[in-house]
Amino acid sequence: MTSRLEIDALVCGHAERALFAPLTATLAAGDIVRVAGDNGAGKTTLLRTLAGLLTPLSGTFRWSTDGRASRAGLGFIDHDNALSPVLTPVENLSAVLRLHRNTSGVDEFQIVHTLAALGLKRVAHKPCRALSAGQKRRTALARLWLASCRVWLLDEPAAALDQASRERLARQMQIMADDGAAILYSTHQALNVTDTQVIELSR
Amino acid sequence: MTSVFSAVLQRDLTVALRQRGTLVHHLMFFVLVVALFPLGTNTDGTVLVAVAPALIWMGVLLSVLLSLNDLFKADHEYGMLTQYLIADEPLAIIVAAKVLAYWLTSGAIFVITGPVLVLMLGVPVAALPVMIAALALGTPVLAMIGAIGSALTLSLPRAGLLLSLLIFPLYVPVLIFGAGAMRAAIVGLPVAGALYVLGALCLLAVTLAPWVIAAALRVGLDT
Amino acid sequence: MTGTGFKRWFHRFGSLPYFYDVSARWAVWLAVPAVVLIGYALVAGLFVVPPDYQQGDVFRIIYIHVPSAWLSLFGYTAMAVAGVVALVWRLKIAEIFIVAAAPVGASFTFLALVTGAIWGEPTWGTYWVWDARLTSELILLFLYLGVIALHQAIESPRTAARACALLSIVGVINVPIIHYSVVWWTTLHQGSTVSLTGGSKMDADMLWPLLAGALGFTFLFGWLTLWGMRVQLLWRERRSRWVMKRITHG
Repeated sequence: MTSRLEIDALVCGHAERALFAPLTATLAAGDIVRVAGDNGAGKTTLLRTLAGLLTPLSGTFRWSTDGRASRAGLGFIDHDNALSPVLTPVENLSAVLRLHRNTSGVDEFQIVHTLAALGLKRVAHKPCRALSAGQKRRTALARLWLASCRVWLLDEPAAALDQASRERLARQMQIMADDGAAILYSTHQALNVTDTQVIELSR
Repeated sequence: MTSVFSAVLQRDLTVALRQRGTLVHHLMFFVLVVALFPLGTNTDGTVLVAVAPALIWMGVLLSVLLSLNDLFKADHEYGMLTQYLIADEPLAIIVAAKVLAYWLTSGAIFVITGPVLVLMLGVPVAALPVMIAALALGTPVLAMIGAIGSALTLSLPRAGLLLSLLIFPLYVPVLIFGAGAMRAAIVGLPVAGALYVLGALCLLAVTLAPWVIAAALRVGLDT
Repeated sequence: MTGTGFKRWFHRFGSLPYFYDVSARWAVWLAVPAVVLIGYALVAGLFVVPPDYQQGDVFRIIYIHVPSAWLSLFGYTAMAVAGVVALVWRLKIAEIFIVAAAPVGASFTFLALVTGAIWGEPTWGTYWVWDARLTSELILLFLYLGVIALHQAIESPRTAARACALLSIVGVINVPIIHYSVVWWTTLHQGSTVSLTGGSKMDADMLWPLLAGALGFTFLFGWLTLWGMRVQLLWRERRSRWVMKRITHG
């Protein structure tokens, strides 16, 4: 089992104020790790810190992909869907996918196909401002099917999803983990996936 | 690397073209600033010709300031900036593409309308090529430096006034050489020196600024 | 100093409680030379040095003006150097230095402008001329004010300091470009204006108090900045245990 991420005594927070007690954990290939904690416990802050967006207050974490110390091949889906309201789902997805080396070759046909499988065929070529919250979320999540990232950080992926979409999401997360991806996610809705580990954030 | 550059450029140009209204507003703002000035003085041709270069560049500075506020704002609001920050490719390449897209849409307005406006102010036609060259070389510098300020103030509400305080002092060289080249062209003095300096500033800004903008984005969003 | 020795010193220097404790002692070593040198410069400059053959007693303002102008440039450069240290090595002390130095540097810049204007009135007959040096100094003041405004606008102290670090680096690259462009601008459109130091060659009697004043002002800058840093440090670390301990035990 190759380790993807090693967290050592990590403390995150805002303006010098720590949100949770020092955290130590390891994420390996095939892991599905749920980050649990109350509102304001620091789940989003932890995920954003691991994505390299925030500076940790103390402690360290180390990404390793294929033995190289790098966070290349990292997929991150947070509260925002990264969809421009004036662009269509297809245009938006193709722009996001081209930011990563391993997915820059995904073509429009594959995107439309995936969107159709997620029940978004009718809106695939409409500006995103016309989409409902659930449709936007599904569009953002389509990246899970299109991008083969080795590590996924998912912040509340099931937000605004209906029952059927939640199940589809859970199945895909399981498939990705079986393929050797490592997933770190937080959720408020119950997701039918087998967590290999739960990280409880406490003060 | 080129793939990411063209992807971001294409995306931002598409967004800009779908929001043509904003571009028209920029255009009208610029035209109004310059067109209202003569109403505040008199129609004495010599006065207007004398101030025309300064007036054009002040109009450019003000429009750039207003539009720069939004350079990263939309991407920040719906989370695209986050995706840029974690992309495999260097952030500097991405922001360079963004600033180029911004300049192709907003900067082009000044290069095209500026000469028309100075004709209205009574500037001789012979001076126009120099004006276009000065605007074409100077406005990319304004866009690049402005993007640094825009990135630093991104997470702040109502950053407009602060932005002007940060970037206007840095605009002084472009203002001096841009307006200087125009003035020299109007009175028939040699202009090559000023244009060379503008070209050098442009080169410097285009090579260095993307890295600074990238660093500024990382600093500005790490809150 | 050996490599490891330097590294240990670097880390110890980076320790905030250590810095807070030793800086109280350093303050004395900055304050005493500052007072002595500035005192000598003022006494010598005001009473000992003979009046200028052209300007009379008015020229004596250079004993304030020139050191202030020197420090306005020195302060901004020092901020940019600290900015590089803060961004590359993430040293907190460097961040705090920038934040503390900005208002001090801005004050000296303002002082240089005001003394320049006071000097200008009897010498050129006007308080303000668009002279290359005065104009550059004015823009430098705006650069300082930009850093201060940015610091005040950002809530998180670390982010604010790092943003200021970046801005001062960008500014310091621009300072020579701005100066060059302003010089170009004044020579093109005004002919040569009155040169501040040209013409009369400086006598050694006049020069020594001036150098002493510049050095004394530099020490004063260091002293004021050091105290500013201590205040910043207490405020930023106000929730930490070491600050609590030092406040309650005096």
